[in-house]
Amino acid sequence: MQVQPTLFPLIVFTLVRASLKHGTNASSCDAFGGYGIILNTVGKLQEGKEMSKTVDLLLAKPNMERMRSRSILICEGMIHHWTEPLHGTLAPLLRGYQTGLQSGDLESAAINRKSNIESVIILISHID
Amino acid sequence: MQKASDNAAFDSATTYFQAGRELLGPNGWNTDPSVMLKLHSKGANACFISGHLDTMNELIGEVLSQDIPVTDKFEVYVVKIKAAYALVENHVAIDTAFEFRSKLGLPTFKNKPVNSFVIIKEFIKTKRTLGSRKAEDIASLPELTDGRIMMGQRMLELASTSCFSVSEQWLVTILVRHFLLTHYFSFCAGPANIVPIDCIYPGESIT
Repeated sequence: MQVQPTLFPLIVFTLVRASLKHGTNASSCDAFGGYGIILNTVGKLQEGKEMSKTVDLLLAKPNMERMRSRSILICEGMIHHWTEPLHGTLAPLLRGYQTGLQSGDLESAAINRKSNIESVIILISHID
Repeated sequence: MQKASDNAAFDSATTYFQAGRELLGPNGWNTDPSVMLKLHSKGANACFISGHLDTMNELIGEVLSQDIPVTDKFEVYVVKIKAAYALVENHVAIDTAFEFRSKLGLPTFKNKPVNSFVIIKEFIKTKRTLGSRKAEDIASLPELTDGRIMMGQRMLELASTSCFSVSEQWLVTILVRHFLLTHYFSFCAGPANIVPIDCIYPGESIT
């Protein structure tokens, strides 16, 4: 049995609408981060960036610790590089790795580190 | 209990939680069910993180077999989904998340292909609901306090991770554009926000 990837946008849309209707919590970071990814993919780069800013503001609220590493991964690894130079994501991704290790979110920590290394390799490959 | 979970000392945490369970003994569920539930739920999470998957499954199974409200089983459901995802059993992760949502009485999805028109319809609906809200407007929305909705949201959050992981179309699209943009920007001396991106993607300009 397989998973249907087409469920991803539907789940994200449901999360976004539920957050707007009932209020925000830690899951809203994933909702608006995921929505940002979708917006970027359909070419709405400024709107995607705005969703990333939303995630940053939500993370500043209390009790968001478990989402910190994951949200850094979404914003820095999947959204910011659409509109900003890649080297700007290196330090945040490294911070995401360390945050994930501290909070026990090893999955996000590992992917943050992987994205950080990939970005370094891409940047180094263009140094003449 | 808090001490056991702090500082990412999850290996030590499993020992703390095990000691707690042994202290309460086999009748723990009758004498002190709330502490027993916490010891099992937190213990399952610590076992998952430290890689003791057999013990994790035992603890999850024990909680799920108890005659307690489904909301009390939330934490072990989360661990079960995360473990399934870690073992690349994405369909198990998604089915478990949807099962929990339906037990909560919340609308859920079926693990079936979604028609493109439905996705576009839902996208337009979401865009309309969002309106012209800026980041500050969204961040200033009231905090969600309904526990049932929070649990349902968490289930969707976990399910989306599994869907995204298997979404080859998304991954290919994102990776290809990631490389295109990276290569393009790497040859630009100026900041990215003055680079017209229309030459890469014929959509919206970022200038």
